[in-house]
Amino acid sequence: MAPARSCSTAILCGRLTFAVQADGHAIETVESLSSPDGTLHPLQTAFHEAHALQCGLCAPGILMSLVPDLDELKTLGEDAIRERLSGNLCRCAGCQHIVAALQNVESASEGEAE
Amino acid sequence: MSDGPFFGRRVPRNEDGVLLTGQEQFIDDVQPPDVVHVAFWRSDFAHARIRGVDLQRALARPDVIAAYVADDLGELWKPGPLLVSPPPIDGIVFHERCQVPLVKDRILHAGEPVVAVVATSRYAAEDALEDIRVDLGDDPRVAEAAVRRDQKRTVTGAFCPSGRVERSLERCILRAGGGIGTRREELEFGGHEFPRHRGSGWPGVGVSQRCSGA
Repeated sequence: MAPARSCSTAILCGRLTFAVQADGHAIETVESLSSPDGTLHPLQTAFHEAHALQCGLCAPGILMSLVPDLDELKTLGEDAIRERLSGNLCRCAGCQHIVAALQNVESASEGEAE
Repeated sequence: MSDGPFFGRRVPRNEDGVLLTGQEQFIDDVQPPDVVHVAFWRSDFAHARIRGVDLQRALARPDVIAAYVADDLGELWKPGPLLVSPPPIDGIVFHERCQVPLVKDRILHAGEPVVAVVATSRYAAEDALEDIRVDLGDDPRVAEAAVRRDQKRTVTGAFCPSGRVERSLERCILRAGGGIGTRREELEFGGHEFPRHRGSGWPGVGVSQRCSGA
């Protein structure tokens, strides 16, 4: 088995998921999130701008678990955002900043759409 | 307030780029060849005397390479460096009491490491901890503190036999009518030594106050 990279969704997001449970599935990790030219994904940009990470250990898991929710984030309230985050633990930057980042994603993706 | 590069400005973090794109390396990502892993058996008790350590079952595990207690370290065993100097107070009694690598005989705080187990993987090392038997004995210490300014009330503090610190020196002082800021000169002690927790509060240092008898 390859060394467990902390940024793999199957491993970190899935600290709750065994690798064997992903058998036959494609696994996308945070390395795939930004564009080939290095442009950050709106979620990554929002995290950077809101200081939503310190050590960065939890960030890949949070980012990847919220990618499917990206378009929905703008309509989610704070409570719902916190619920979406409930499978993730941040122990240094504080969930406050992460929630702030996710609320800021709204404007980021809106800006893209316009 | 917006002069200079920092005041009144947002300062974006330089390290976010690698952290957000999965390029950063954490310790678990580093896999040097032939690396072995260590796990520590730590005390669940805040205060106890070590009567014996049985490593046989742990050492019998095929994936365990070695297990060490304090005495195995020989001359390498010594308290760590003093990282924070005592405050510059006239007449202060300061006994250096730095963290030790492995406890020799007396456990002074919960979580103190007693055994180091080396194994072929982190998992194996942690599993081996379950096979270590440490015989802990009571280490009752009774101390008294009285506060002069309060009719010499004497309160006994006991580090109870179960290993839990039942009443600390500070608690004794408070019970005797002293408070935060009570100075040493106002205290009388029963000639006991209060072994402060190693490393409590300050990085790498604890203070032992030898309390001379009244």
